[in-house]
Formats: sequence, C-alpha cells, structure tokens
Amino acid sequence: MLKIFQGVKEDLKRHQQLRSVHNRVPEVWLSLKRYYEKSGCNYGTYERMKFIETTYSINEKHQIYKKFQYHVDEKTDLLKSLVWISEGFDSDKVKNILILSSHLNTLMHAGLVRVDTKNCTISMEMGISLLVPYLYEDEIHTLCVKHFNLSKDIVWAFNRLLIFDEDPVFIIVDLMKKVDKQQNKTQKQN
Amino acid sequence: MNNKIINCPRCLGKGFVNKEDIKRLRREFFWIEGPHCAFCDGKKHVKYDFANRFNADDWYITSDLDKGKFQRYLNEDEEILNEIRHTEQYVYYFGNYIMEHHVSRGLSKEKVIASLARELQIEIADIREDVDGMIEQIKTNILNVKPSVKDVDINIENSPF
Repeated sequence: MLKIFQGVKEDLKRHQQLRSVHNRVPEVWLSLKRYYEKSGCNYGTYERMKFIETTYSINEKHQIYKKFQYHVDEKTDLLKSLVWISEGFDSDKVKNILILSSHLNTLMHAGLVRVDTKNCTISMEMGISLLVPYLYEDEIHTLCVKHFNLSKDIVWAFNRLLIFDEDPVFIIVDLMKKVDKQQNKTQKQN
Repeated sequence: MNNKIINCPRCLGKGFVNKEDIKRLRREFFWIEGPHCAFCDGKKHVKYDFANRFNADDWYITSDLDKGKFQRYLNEDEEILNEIRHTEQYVYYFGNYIMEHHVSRGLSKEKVIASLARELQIEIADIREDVDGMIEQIKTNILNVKPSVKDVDINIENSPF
C-alpha cells in the first residue's frame, strides 16, 4: 500500500514538474551546482555561460589530469559533459588524428570526439536532453560517471597517437581488446 | 664499524635495476632500467654501513657517475652537494612541467619546448635534448604502454563501448 502511495506521489511530482518544464534550464543548472557542491572536489563555476569546470585524474597513480566541463546548453537543450584531450596538438599529426577520431566516433554508442583543426584541439563530449536531469536529478551523476569512464579509454587511445606516435589502426585494435578485457572482468566480478 | 652485509635495498638482490624498482623508489624522472645496479655495483649485496649512510633511492648514485665526482660525494664535498640539490630541483620541475603540459594538456612537444624555453628564459636549442630525454623516460617509466598488436580483427557490429 505504502509502495503504491509513494508511486502516486512520485507521479504527481513529475506531473507538476512537466507543467513548469519551461524552467528546466535554471533548474538543471541549480541541480548541477548542487551536485558539485556536494561532491567536495575543486571546481570553477561560470555563471553566465552556465558551465562548471574541474580537473580529474584519469590514471590509477594520479599522474595524468584532464580538464572536464559540464555545460547546461540552452541552444541545444542538452546537458553536456566535455573533456579536453589535447589543447594544442602537432599539426603534422592532423591526418592520423582525424582517422582515429572517425574510428572512435563510429565505434562509440554515446559520446562524440571533436577535432578542431584550426586551433589544434581535441575534445570528447556526451550530452543528454535537459528534460532527463530536470525530471531525474540523479541522471547528472550517471552522465558524469559514464562520460568519465569513456574518457579514460579515449584519452588512452589519443595518448598512444600523440605521445607514442602509433598507427591509428593498431590503436583501435588494442583499444577494442582492452575494453573487451575490462568488460569480461566486470562480468566475472558480477 | 658494522661490517654486516645485507641484500641491496635498491635492486633487492638482483644486481640490476628494473622498472618496478624505479617505480618503487619513485625515481621515474631520474633513472632508466639497466643491467647494472650502481648502489651495490652489481654485487647484489652491500655493506650495512653504506646502506645506512645512503638511501637506496639516492638518485645521484648511478652507473654512469664519474668516479671522481662519486668520491667527492662520499667525502660530502659542499660544491657537489649544492650541484645535486639544484639538479634535483631542475629535474623535478622539468618532469612535472612535461607531465602537466605534454601528457595532461596534450600540447605538442614543440609547443612544450617553446613555452618551457620562454619560462626559463633560455634558447630552445639548449633544452631540446633534455626535453626529448625526459619524454622518453616518462614514456617508459610512467606511461608504460605495451607494443601494438599486429593482428587486425575489428568487428564494428560488436563495439564494446
């Protein structure tokens, strides 16, 4: 009985939220700030542009750090999560970078690698409709974790190209084997 | 005087230093693995007195160290000790700078060399060799990527992402 009552209460809450759906941008922005305030990590808030910037370590020994940005994008109606992979790559490598990024974009179900050939930057972003975190606040955490886990593999792949100068085809093969191995390990643990 | 002989605390009695030893002693910016341990001179054990006086992670005691300089170091020559202190600071600064800008920010080697030269107010040519050496050290000691596989068997339908 209590379960049914709670379910009805939740439905009513969602119904009320949907009636004021036009407020989703400021609401999601508030939720995002609240999420980072609770997280206890160091971050910067850009109020006018509605984004939060932070740095996370992406390897076990905390030696490699990447800049992450979380943006409430009014224009596209998305909550975006973005990681900067390269802030200034070697322009001679642009051909291989484009090959690797197109391979990755074909393989990824979510997430998009963007290469800016003019400014020599590489980023990887993921986005969800603002309606999702507006109705279910926990989805902010889900997006952040999903994007962070994916970015570890994408950074690994680009490091092999940018630092080790390896061929994109071999990087993709190694990456797929690495991800397969991780998935098998997780399945065994479960 | 204690003449007791103990297993070499640097190479753990192997007679050579490998990547695990470098990581354990946190000397990734200073050493590369080699066939000869400078701390025990490849003998696998050292005198207790020596191990008590010098730390196993003493970065200055290396295989390519000049014997004259090593003797001056043993004699605690002030000039050598100062040189060691400065070099240690320089290597740490250099290594951390490359880790931050080349590895973390993903800036190209040329951009890192240019900004480092600007920061240190020295010519690019004067630091190029040092940067190359440090990047190689970081690649082998920190990033440590296994060589590529050569069998291509991608199945896009079953993308693991």
